[in-house]
Amino acid sequence: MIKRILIANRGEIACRIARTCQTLGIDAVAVYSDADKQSRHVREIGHAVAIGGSNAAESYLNINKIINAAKDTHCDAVHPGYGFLSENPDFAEALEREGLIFIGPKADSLRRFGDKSAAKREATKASVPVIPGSDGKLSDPTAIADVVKSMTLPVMLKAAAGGGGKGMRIIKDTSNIDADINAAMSEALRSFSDDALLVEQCIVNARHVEVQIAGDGEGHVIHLFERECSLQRRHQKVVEEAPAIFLEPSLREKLLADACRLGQQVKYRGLGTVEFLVLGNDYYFLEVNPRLQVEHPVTESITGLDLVELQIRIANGLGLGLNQADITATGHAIEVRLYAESPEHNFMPATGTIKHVEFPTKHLRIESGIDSGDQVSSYYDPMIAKLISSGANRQQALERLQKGLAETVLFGIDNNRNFLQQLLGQADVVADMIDTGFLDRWLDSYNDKALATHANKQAAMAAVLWLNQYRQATSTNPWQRNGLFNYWTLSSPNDTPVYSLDLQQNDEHWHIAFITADEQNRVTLMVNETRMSLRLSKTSNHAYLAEFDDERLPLTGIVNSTHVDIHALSQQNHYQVVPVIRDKHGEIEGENSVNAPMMGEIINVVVKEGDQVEEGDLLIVMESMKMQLQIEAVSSGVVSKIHCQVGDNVARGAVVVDVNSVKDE
Amino acid sequence: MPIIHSTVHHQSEEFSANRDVYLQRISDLHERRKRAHLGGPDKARKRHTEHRQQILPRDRIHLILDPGSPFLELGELAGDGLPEGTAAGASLITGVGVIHGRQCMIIANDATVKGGTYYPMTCKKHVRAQTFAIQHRLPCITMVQSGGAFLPEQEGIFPDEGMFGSIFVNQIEMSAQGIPQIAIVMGSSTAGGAYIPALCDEVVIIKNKGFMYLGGPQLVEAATGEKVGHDELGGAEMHCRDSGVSDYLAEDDAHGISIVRDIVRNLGNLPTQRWDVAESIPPLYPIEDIYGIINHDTKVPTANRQILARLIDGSLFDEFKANYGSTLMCGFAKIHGFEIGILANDGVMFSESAKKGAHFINLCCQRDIPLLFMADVPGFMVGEEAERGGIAKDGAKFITAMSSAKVPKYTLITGGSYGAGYLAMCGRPFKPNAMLAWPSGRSGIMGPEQVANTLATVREDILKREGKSWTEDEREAFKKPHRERFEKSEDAYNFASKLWYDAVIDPIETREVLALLLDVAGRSPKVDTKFGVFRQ
Repeated sequence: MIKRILIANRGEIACRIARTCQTLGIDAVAVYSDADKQSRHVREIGHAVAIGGSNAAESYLNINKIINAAKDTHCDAVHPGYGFLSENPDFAEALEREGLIFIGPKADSLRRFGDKSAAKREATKASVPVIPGSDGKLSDPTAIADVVKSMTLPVMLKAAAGGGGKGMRIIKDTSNIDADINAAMSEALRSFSDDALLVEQCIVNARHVEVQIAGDGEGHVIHLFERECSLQRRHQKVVEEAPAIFLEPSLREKLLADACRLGQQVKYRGLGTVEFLVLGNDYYFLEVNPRLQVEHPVTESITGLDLVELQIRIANGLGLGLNQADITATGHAIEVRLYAESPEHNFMPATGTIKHVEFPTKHLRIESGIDSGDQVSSYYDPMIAKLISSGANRQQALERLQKGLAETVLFGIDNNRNFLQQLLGQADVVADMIDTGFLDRWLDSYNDKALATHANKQAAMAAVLWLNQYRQATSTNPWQRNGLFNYWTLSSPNDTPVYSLDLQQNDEHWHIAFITADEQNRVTLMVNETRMSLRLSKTSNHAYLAEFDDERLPLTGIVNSTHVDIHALSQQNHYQVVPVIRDKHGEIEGENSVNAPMMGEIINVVVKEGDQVEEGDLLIVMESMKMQLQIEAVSSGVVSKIHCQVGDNVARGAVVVDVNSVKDE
Repeated sequence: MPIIHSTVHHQSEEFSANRDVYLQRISDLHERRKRAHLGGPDKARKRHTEHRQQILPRDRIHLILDPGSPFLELGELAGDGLPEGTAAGASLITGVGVIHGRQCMIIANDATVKGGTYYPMTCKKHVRAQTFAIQHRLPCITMVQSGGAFLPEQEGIFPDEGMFGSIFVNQIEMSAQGIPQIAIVMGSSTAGGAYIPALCDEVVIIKNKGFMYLGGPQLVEAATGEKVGHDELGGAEMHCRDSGVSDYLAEDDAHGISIVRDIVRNLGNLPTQRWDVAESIPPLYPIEDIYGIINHDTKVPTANRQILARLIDGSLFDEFKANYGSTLMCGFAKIHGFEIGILANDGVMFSESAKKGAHFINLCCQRDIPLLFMADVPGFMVGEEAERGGIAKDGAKFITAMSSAKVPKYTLITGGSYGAGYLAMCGRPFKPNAMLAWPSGRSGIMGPEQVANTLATVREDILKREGKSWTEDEREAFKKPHRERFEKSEDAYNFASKLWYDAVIDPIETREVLALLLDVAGRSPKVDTKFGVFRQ
């Protein structure tokens, strides 16, 4: 019997697995990299082992270190979570060699499903419909091009060893085919150490439905119903729900039966997900994810099961402990993934410190790996939490999730909260008229700007909150008391502003002019051309009540000398305060320095010192948070100095290249 | 109960007539301030901001102070309307503001007014700001951009004590006393304009904008034939790297200002408040009532007790000797929680009033309670009875007590304040910590009518001796120019323009201004009083 489990993962999933361990009376041991020393999963789990460098390859992906950690702490099993080593057959085997239990499928299953072409063969063998395309994987660019040209466009190039949407590329026309193939292969090579590709018919406007299965490893496989995950951005799931209510019962039965049959064929052990694309009455096998999935909570919600408990039970050799007939689906559940990323900057991952986070809990399950004060680094996936709502039906679950998102406060780091709110509010999403291309199509019209209706009030609240950090309503020091704001113009008939500042949010701009502040702490100010009067009182830690002349608004806010974060009216705004006086010296870089837009690793230095470059020329390629960033010249000139080399990890804002402008003379 | 009860009738015709007149005065005051805040002419301001890419001096102050902190400006209207032709403010802005929680004296040249050069009034204003800083031990932050002396006015600038040279004397004296002297050179600073920062403890200079030289390139070429550019002669980098005249090189205005803020943050412990400050309680009656209480007819006395009721916390006045010498109200009260001893006129000064005032000042000095003189007084009583009663001796007692008192003293001219009355109520010669006036404040040796009458009587006596006489019309024609001249002279804005007042304030600002002043005074060490001889 498993007594102690090493959780070979981090973030929310590590916390979630540990919770089930606690319920079952099993000890949990965490692991952490250098970057995660202070992370929430380490704090929460308590017993934790350092496994090395911040780069995942030096820690969470290092088989020996994980095994040593498990042995040193006398664990009898390892739970890999998702990602990292969760689908690595070598890892599973290595554990077994050491007499440790791998909580997951057999190594053989991982191999069969780890490779897309192998998986496709398994599906065909089990009479599960597959997507038309190349017969097996291809590593010769010419051969790939030939296959592409023989098919009806669009077609999809996939990394054969890939998963999770990485290394996929859609070919809509063949004019750039060689470049596209090269790019897909190099990305595949970089991500999965294998440049082989699959070519498949691209099934557009289909829906993504996946079946959760569980097997005892002896041939007994059951399903835990399906999930609908069609809302994807570039093949990355954003919203997941269960059940897929659009499915006709007969079609659902087919999918569920096919998934179980595929599992039985390999005597599947543990949890797995069989993914399908559904188009009308047709469906196609996509792949099998042999692990616990990010979106497993929606299945837990409708079935009432604890999937991690089920995994541990299977790993203990106790079988499934339930029959298909024991499993019923009730109600509806929806999950959204909260990411540290910037939707207005093409979803670029964001790094930094979580200044303040607050989740509502009513009708919501929160799976979070962060707390206020935590760092989000560039080393790992930028997902910081999942919000899972449940309700009697889809509409109720959706409404609860909307409300939950509206009440979620997350300051200090760019995130997709506003984006998710808008997405869930789309008529087609509400009406369940979605497909895998919906989100990318809708993105073209997505606008992250705050709703204009209350923009002035939001700015006014931010401005007063900012001012209040320097003023006190009740002080015996008249220089700080609001009533003595500025005597020269106090109640002046000219309404002369006594202090003004600008607030900036992205490219929006508010001019704030303070006019008076009375002893009751009521501040009169101009926001652009609008005069407002506002009293801001603190109700608890970061919570305030704003009393306007015509409205009272609760808000959450945090503030420092240069920035204000405000959450009110379900909206979150991050303002920069200008002018602000820098309180540090010498932070000025030459105007022609090119800076790294975020923390990450330099993977290619395209130019060399002395090169002539034009504005917009590619200088450096870096990888950060699983994304490739191209750093371009901001002005024409000569590369005078290169401050980095391939393999360097650079900080956000670090100077990577100096370009000396050429003066027109 | 020591509460002053209101006897004001808001509905009375008198009240509304008074208020109408006063509101006109208030909007006049704000117009004057607005003009003063503008600085130089549009063209000069535009050159400053657009051509030189510099920040206007008031915005510089705005940036250097803690956000939303008050700026207690001194001499805001100095130089307004003087024949020498400076703009209001005399090309200099001075006042107290807070940097990192510490009160500082800010002295900023306004280069949009004649290149920030020093007129006689500019010198006087700079010296006055320094005097205030010395008295309150305030660090001085000088924001320099000045061409030095305005040459055509050299006789009012150069030779005497109290002129430009005294600025240097004060800088050195303050530095010796440990009062920090910090300068930031934000623009071209020539001659005297360069010596002011050079005599500071620490100097910050802005790259490509700040220049310091005793003589500019043109003067150098004229004097020695040497041809040299601005940068080599007095640029920021030269002064930070070669000459060592400046200590900190700032990249731009904002950076320079942040360096100054850092310097101030590192000045050590903040001075603590030596008085217990109670919670502020508003007066029982609206302070705006004052507009309707001050009589627009200067011949009708104002109900000063009712004014007092509207200035002090809770309208609570612990009156001293209420039944004795009642034309000088004396008593203890609080303003925004600060305890203060108030002496307020309620008629002409008699012997008893003077003796009571001397007694009261004595008490306040014993207890380290600051004094507020609210002046609205025609003068000391004259006549045989008064002289026989020794009013000269009793007046002298009061003046001795007032002059000797080393507790902080504040003067507020609320109405007509004349002759020895003006002096005895701590007029400018007696160096109050601050000298304030309401727009209704008037001061002179006599009232304009009294002056005209006195001169007419003298003239009449001469005519009589010559056996001549004049008609009533001739008499009035004689009086008119005298009256008008003195009306102009006694005006609050004339006094403010010549810096005989530090500020003209709206009555409703009084509590706030006094609280700021008292807070600053309470952060400097107590000084013991030694009284001169009291004639008995």
